[in-house]
Amino acid sequence: MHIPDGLLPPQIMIGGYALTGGITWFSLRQIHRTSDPTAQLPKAALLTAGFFVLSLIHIPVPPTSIHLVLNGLMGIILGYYAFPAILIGLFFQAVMFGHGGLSSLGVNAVIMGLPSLLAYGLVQWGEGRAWGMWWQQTTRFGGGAIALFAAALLYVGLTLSTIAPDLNADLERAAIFAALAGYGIQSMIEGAFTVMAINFLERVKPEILQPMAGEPLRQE
Amino acid sequence: MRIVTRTEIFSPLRLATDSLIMPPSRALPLFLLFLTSGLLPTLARDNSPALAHSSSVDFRIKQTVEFRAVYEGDRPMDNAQVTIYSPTDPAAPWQTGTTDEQGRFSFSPDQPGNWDVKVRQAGHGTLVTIPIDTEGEVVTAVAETGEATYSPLQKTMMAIATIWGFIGTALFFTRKPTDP
Repeated sequence: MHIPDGLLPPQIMIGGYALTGGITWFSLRQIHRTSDPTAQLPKAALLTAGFFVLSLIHIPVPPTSIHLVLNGLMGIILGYYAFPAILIGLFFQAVMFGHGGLSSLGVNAVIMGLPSLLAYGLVQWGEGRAWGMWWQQTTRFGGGAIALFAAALLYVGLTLSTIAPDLNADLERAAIFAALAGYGIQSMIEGAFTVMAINFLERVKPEILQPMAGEPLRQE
Repeated sequence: MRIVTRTEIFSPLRLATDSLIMPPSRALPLFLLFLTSGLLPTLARDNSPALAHSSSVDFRIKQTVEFRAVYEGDRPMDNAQVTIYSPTDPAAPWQTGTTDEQGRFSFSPDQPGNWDVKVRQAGHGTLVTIPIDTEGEVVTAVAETGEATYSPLQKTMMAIATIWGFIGTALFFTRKPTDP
């Protein structure tokens, strides 16, 4: 769901950059408020590396192939670090491999980064409720799945509203909805992967699951 | 996503043999017969008006640019929408259409210059410029998009270098504070 250069009108590209600038500023301010803003940077850098390389790994899901985004997992583990991390990961994807583009970097950062903050908020809220293990697992699954599907909805909404006049609108719309169905399946895969990853980390290295320093993920 | 282009010079003879599915040795007499059939009424010196019997075939060698649009991993962009812009009018589409099952599409440029080809499907797509030289015979350069034209080895090296940058960042911020 990387939007390439040249397919969106300039005002949307500029709007995407403006929104990305605002969210990045907000995220950095939240990070700056923690007791040690650089404490989480190694974790953020390594997860950015993971996010960057994931777009190169294609998983065949007949009749097509997908690559995992895992923006929900990024949000759950990194908290407000997720947005700058995704922005940097997308920048390198665009520069190195042409996934997305530099003019559409702002739009793509909003598409993938905003839902990751949503996943962070959802899991933070869910972990604060002592409603049993199934509830906890469900919010983790939901965090991963909703983040991907929200990103897909943003992507689809944007592409549907900007179908170029020289295209056959019906054909393009049908292709976009077919892609959305694919993203629905992918969101289930990402949700399941997120649950497994969080449960694994909780067992072997629970301190990783403190998205923001001094603010534990599990409020017990 | 990338676009692979190739050009082909189609000759009428070749088209005739292709469509009839027979070897050129057999197709040639048929083809000549077809060409000369228009002369028969003239040879017969029939003064009555020839109603729709007179026919002729004039041919010219036409250049065709064929390209194939694929997603990364060589998955064809089937039924993707193609819009082609001529060098003289980059605003109005010169030709539109959709790619076939294999992601292929071909068009016949009628003038030299830079032909813009836009392939788009569900928000994915690319814009590629295909330069046609002044002779109008060959494409001077293979069109390349900004995407995925590296070999797998190059891509792996680039990915490793970038990942090493991230690891370096992580190591930098995990260093132990040293006493001055």
